[in-house]
Formats: sequence, structure tokens, C-alpha cells
Amino acid sequence: MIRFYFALWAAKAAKVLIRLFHKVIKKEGTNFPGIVALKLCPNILARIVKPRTVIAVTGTNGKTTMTNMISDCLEAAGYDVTSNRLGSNIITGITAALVNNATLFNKSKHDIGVLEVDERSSILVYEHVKPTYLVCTNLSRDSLSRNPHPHYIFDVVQKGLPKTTKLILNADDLISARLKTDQKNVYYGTGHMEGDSDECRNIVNDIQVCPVCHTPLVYDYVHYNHIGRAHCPACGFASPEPDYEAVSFDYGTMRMQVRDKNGQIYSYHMISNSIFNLYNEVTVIAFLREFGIEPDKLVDILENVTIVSTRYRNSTVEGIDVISNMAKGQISTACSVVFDYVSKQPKEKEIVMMLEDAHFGDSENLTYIYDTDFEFLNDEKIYNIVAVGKRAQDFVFRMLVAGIPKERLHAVAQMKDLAPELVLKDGEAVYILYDNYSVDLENEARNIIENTIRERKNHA
Amino acid sequence: MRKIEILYPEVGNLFGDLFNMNYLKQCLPDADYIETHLNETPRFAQEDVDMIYIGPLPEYAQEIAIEKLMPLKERLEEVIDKGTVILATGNAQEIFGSYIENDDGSKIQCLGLFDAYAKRKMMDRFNTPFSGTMKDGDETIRIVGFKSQFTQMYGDNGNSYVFDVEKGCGINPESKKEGLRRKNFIGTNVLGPIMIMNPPFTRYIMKLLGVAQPTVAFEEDAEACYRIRLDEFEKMNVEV
Ligand SMILES: [Zn+2]
Repeated sequence: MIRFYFALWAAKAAKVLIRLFHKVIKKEGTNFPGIVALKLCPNILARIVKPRTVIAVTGTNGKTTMTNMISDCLEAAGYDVTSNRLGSNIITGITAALVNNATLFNKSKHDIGVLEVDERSSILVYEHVKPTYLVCTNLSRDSLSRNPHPHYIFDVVQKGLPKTTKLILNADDLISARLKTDQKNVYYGTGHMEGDSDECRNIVNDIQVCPVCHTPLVYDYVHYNHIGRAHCPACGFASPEPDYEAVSFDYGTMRMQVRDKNGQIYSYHMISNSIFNLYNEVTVIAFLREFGIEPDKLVDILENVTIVSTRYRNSTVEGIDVISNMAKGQISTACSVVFDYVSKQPKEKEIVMMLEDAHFGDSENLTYIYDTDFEFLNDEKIYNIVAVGKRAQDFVFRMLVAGIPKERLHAVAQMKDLAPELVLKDGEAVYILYDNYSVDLENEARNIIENTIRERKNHA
Repeated sequence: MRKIEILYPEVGNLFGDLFNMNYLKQCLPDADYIETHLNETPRFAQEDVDMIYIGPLPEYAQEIAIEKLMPLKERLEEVIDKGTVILATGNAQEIFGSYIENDDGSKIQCLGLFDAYAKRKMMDRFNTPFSGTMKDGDETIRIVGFKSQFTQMYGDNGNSYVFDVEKGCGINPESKKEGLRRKNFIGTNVLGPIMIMNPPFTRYIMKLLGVAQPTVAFEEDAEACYRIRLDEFEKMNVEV
């Protein structure tokens, strides 16, 4: 007991120190109280008070957006909410969030905790923090150095989850939808959408065979990768029926119709037109309805929710659009979605590709690029692709293997050599595809592109 | 026409490794590439094929594959003795070993074509760059790639390995001999995909398939990438 309080107070003191020295410690500082607490009292997670209701958010893509959206909506509905949105989603960040939530005498300051939980931390976290609800976005192929395939992540999450947790699952993801099938779960999904295909167009589809009898599954429709609805022609196994389903989308008025489990349809403001965010919104709707928020109130709340997007930047210089899209390096599914999006944009375009993770050390493992659909970039309208960086040759080779004609491909080792490779036709778009670790490079590339456009205009 | 059978691509497709075959198709377009699914009888069981490829699988699928191949164990032995080229990458090679041991000590019996066995440590992912050498006739070929795995293999592969290790490790962190070799069976945990990252290795496989003067697709570019990697690996300090 003494050890616990000593750890709690020390962690709180650590938080004050960080505030004083925040310029030095910066962002990593938000986890620091968690690190201190765990060091002084390794079982602090067992001892520390938790909010009365804990909502865990997990899944490969969209955890952070989901945590933010759920927290924002609950606050808008008048609830008293804490979360780990400023810290990490592993045990130190979660401990820090709970230290923050506890008073000096270990009473909970807030009623509700929304915790983003890294899938691999499931076992450690859920042993002591038993979520009332678990919202899972999807399980997809992730960085192979940690999570080689989603079935592995499934096993880890499945093992960690307590029996008492109510699961809100994606009916369109046949991997995570099979979590705790012995319980009464809530499923959400989105119906057939424009642009769907009837079979997977991606290289990666992590559930191609029936989990019961191993017969190849037949997809009724596929949104992307393995996300869609499928059934087994041999044994009748099929995707679960969604309790909440987005049934139609109007991109003009930005409204979507969502059917609930009583068959009632409500019209919600669409907060974004990207498929990832549509899923996020349907997930939030399913969760908040289950949480008990009245549908009309929810419609109102979602009118005002926004998503902060740091992954997209756009400018127009002398009639040429310069568009930056972040594509998380090492994550094939994330890169493929961006490639698909770029290839579908109407203008003629050039791509500046800077996806390598130079921070990985001397010779990074690039196997993920053979899981990534560079084939989507084999399109006449994408007439010039310049790969930049130490690994530029590998990216060019990948695109050759994808069938992209060599004359469209260029490799430059250094940013200073970028400008001569750009064509910059009137009215085109230049896409900068960059990794989350190359934000500085994105700035540099953008300056070079914008300046080159202006210089050439002045010379003309 | 050469027949190349790809076993279980619907599950054996991790780490982009199916591009070993996708690339081979571009190097050797005049061959018949047969994809066999889990519920189908493999072609090699019905007739002779020139090559069999099987790539890295999720653990659940690896166990199904063992179940499916177990009745074909004798036939596989015969096929290997005949000199059929077999390439098993990632944990697919474990299928041909003696057993796989789980974290809890339980064991999954494998085909037993090699004495080596695998141990899984599912919360302990092992990642390392790899470089090594092998003989292609009188010539020494250098191999570069990566390892990323939950398992290590144990047992004596001193007379039945594929690569001598330069950097990284062999079938386990203490081993200096990578992979399992018997006649033209080549099993390795080296990812890349290995045939993409190592044009000399791809030419070697093509020679085993009877191509007299093999050239790989986009040879100039493949060689350029290979040389850059060789150079980087040369300077790299790898600790296992
Ligand atoms: Zn079935």
C-alpha cells in the first residue's frame, strides 16, 4: 500500500516536473509519469483507480482517430471523459493517463476513460484494466518487424480480453469480427459502395479461405484488402450481419444513412469522404448507440465533429496543384490506399515518392513494398514518378516489376537532384507521398517543387 | 514446358514473398505456373513438376499445410531425391523439419524430411539483416536479405545447409549455417524477397531448372539494387 501511494505521488510529481521542463522533455514527457509509476510500483495498474466506465479502442488502422472521435462525442454529449490521447497507447502511456485521472488519494476524477490500446499490449493492459467496451477498428497487415500478420494480432487480443467486455466489432473485417464469437457482440459495417469490386484487387488479402473448412471464400463485395463481405460456398460460413450499417452515401450533400438494429434509418453528416473515415464514423455511431445515446442527439453531435488531418496538404502554384499525402511507410495497406486514391484522381500527374524509413538504420527491411500495390500506379496519367532517397533504386525496381514502363521512372539519391527530373506540365498535379518519419523531407520537397514551378514560369 | 507449382498462395503469402514467383514469371515467362489451394491435391502428387515453391504462412495456416502434406510425405521424399527444385521460404521450411515446439512445450509433428526442429516464441519477434555466401559451381555467390520471425531452428544442419553466414545468423542465433538443403530442396528464412534482392541466386535457381544462360528480368536495375545492398551490408555492424 505504501509502495503504491509512493509511486502514485512520485508519478504525479514527475508530471509537475515535466510541466516545468516541458521544453526540454517535449512530447515523450507525457509517458514519463507512467514510466516512473511502473518503476516504483510494477503492479500499479492493478492498484490504481479506473474510471467507472472504460472504453478501450484497438485495431490496426484508425485507433487514434477513433479515440479522439469517441472522446469528443462523449464530451459533446455532456460526459466527463479522460483519455490517453496525448500519450502513448502502450502500458506506460495508459499508466500515465490513469495516474492523471487519480486524485492523491486514488479516487477517480472522471467517470469515463477512453483508452487507445496497442494490440500487442492487450494482455498486459486488460489483465488489470478491464474495459467495459472494446471498440475494434480492424486487424490488418502491419509492420512485419512487430506484427507479421493479423491472425497473430487476433490471437494476442483474443487472449487478453476479459469475458465481461462488450465488443463493438467490424462485420466487414472477417479477422477481427471473429473475436469472442461465443459472446453477444455488436457489429457495424458499411454496405456496398461505389468503387467496390467483387474480388480483392490488392496483393494482400489476409483472409482468402474459410476459417472453418479452408475453401476459398467468395466475396460479395470488397472495399479494400479483406474489408468487405464474404461467404463460404462450401459450408455456409459468412460475415456476421451488421447491427449498424451505413446503407447509402450522398457525397454531394455529405450525408449518409445508417440503419440500426431495429431497422430504423437515420441520416448523419458525413465528416469525411475517405473510406477509412466513413468506417470510423459508422464505428462511432455503433458504439455511441450501444452506450445509450439517443439517435436524434447523436445526429446533432455528429454535425459538429471534425477530424484533424495532418496527413494531407494542398497548394496551387501557377495552376499546378502540389498535394502532399502521408503514407505510413512499412505499412503496406496504408500505402496501397494512398496509391489507389492518387491513381483515381482525374488530372495528369507526377509523383515524388519518399517512403523510405531512413531512421531504420543502415539497410532497412523493405519487404513490405512487395505487399504494397505499386501496380495501382501503372496508369498513363501518372506519367512521371521520381523516387527520392537512399532506397530510390529499390522503389524504382519495385515499380518495374509492377509493369510500369521504365521511361516513367526516375531514382534520385538526394533531394537536391529532384528538380531536373520534374516535368511540371500546365494544369497537372504533383503528389508528394511521404512517410510519417519524413515530414521534414516533405517540406523540403514542397519548397523545391513550388520554387521550380515559379522559376520555370518566370523563364517562360 | 516447365511446370512450376506454387503451393497454398492463398495463405503462404507473407512478407511479399510471393514475389519470388511473380519475379520468376517475368524471368521465365515460358513456364506453366500452377497455383494449388489448400483443398486441392497438389500437382506434384499427380505428376512430376520442375519446381515447387511455398512461402511464409501464418502459424494456423502452417499447421493446415502440414496436415495437407503429411499424406504426401513419401511422395515428397521421392520428388526431392529425383532432384526437383523446391524453394521453401520463411517458416514454410519448418513444415519439412521434424517438429515445431510451441511456447507451452506442446509439439506439432512435421514431415520429418530433415532432423532440424523449430521452436516458436510468439512474444519475441526476431529481426536481423542477413548476408552470406553459397557456391554456384566454382563461383561464390553473395546473398543479402533480412530475417523476421518468431521461430528458431535447432538440430544439426552442418551437412545440409544453404548459406554460410557472414552477417546475422544461421538457423538460430548461435548458428553460422543458414537454411536446410537436400539435393535441390532449398529452405531458408532469408526474406527480401530473396530472388528479388539477389539476381545471382535467381540465376542459380534458373540453372537448376535447366536454363543454360539465365538472365533475370530488368537485370541492369536488379544488379544496381543488389550492388547498393552489398555495399551497405559490407559496412554494416550486425549484432544478433
Ligand atoms: Zn467453409
